[in-house]
Amino acid sequence: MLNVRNINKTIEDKKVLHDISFSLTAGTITGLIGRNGTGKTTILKTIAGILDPTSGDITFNNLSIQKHPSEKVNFVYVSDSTQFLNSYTPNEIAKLYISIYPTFDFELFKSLMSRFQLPLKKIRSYSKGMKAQLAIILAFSSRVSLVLLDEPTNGLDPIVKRQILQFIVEEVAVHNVAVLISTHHLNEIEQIADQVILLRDGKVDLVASIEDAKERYVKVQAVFKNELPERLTLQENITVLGKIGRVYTLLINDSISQTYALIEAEHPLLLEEIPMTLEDIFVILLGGDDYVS
Amino acid sequence: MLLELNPRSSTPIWEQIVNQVKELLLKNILLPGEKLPSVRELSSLLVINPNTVSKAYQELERQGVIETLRGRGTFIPASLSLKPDEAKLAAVRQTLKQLIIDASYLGMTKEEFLKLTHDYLEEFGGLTDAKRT
Repeated sequence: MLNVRNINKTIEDKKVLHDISFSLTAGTITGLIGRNGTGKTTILKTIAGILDPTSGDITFNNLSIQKHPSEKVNFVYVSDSTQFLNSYTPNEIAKLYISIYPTFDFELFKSLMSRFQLPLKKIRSYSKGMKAQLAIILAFSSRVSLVLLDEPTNGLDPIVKRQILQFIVEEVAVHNVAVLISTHHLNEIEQIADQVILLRDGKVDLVASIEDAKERYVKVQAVFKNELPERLTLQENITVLGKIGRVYTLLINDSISQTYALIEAEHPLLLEEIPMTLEDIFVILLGGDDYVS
Repeated sequence: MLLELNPRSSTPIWEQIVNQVKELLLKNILLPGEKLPSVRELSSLLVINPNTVSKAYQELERQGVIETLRGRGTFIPASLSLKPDEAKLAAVRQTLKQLIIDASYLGMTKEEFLKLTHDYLEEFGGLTDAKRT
């Protein structure tokens, strides 16, 4: 549905995005993850057409959105800052959305406002959580094919957060919307996303379904009679994550079963697999770098 | 329908749903003819990806544990027609054999083992009347 092909973006002589490519399918949720300052928001804004790519192409149903800007009527971008809403009432904002999105469903908007118990007074009086809910209600009431959410659950309490995530999965299940979410909350995205895109220094490091990503890496705990056998330290796809006493935590990356057999051939006193989370993959792939420059 | 998912488990979420629905059925918490939540309802309830729920339902349907009636929803069939899977049966026999070996080395007596087996069959053995196709 949406194809991002070889996007590059340079802002003030600094290359922010390098050769970004991925695609999104209707009815799926994609998580965009990466450290602060790696270009997540820039990617969302580029798809939304707020920023133009320096080179590369974004197509929606095979039409380039640079050449056919009217195609942008098929997506909504929800910024992580909701300050701009302040001086309006929800109905005024809805009118603005109606004029932009001909598919906007005002009846749905009203019913969602009452489902989430949002008052129809000036948005300035809203709490942070209410503003975030309103922005997401507006986006899904627009009945577009693609919703871009920039850190939608930032700073929300656990109950509101759960309501918003529930609302997102329902919309995807019923209306076949595609959703792209940038987030740091890996445990949330792990359960709701079909695929994740991991960014590092403005480049795509990994695009995979959550299950594939978890299958590519296996974390094991192993104890050997002495030190870690040299044959294993020479294996390129084994990384030592940590060592406490004689207990090694090892990460195996690809050719899992062969490597497992290699370790077993060294007669470990203990060898057991530890479940991987998306957070482990994130820390392993991105943790070694210096902090954001 | 109450499912407990463990996101930290190495068993994929869809497989946990398959296993737990089968367990609930054996415990008679789900009854024949009962309607299961829709994909939308279950994904919202558990806050998980709807495609994960679809995948679990497809697998349950393939195994003959549930049936989808067009436009009406997903149900536990009134009479279960289980589809025996030879490969899985062989794996079960192998697991049972290994369990007996382990239990013997742990000093468990034959009586204890049989009593445990009997108790579990009492708890989960609700499918003995199901016909095999």
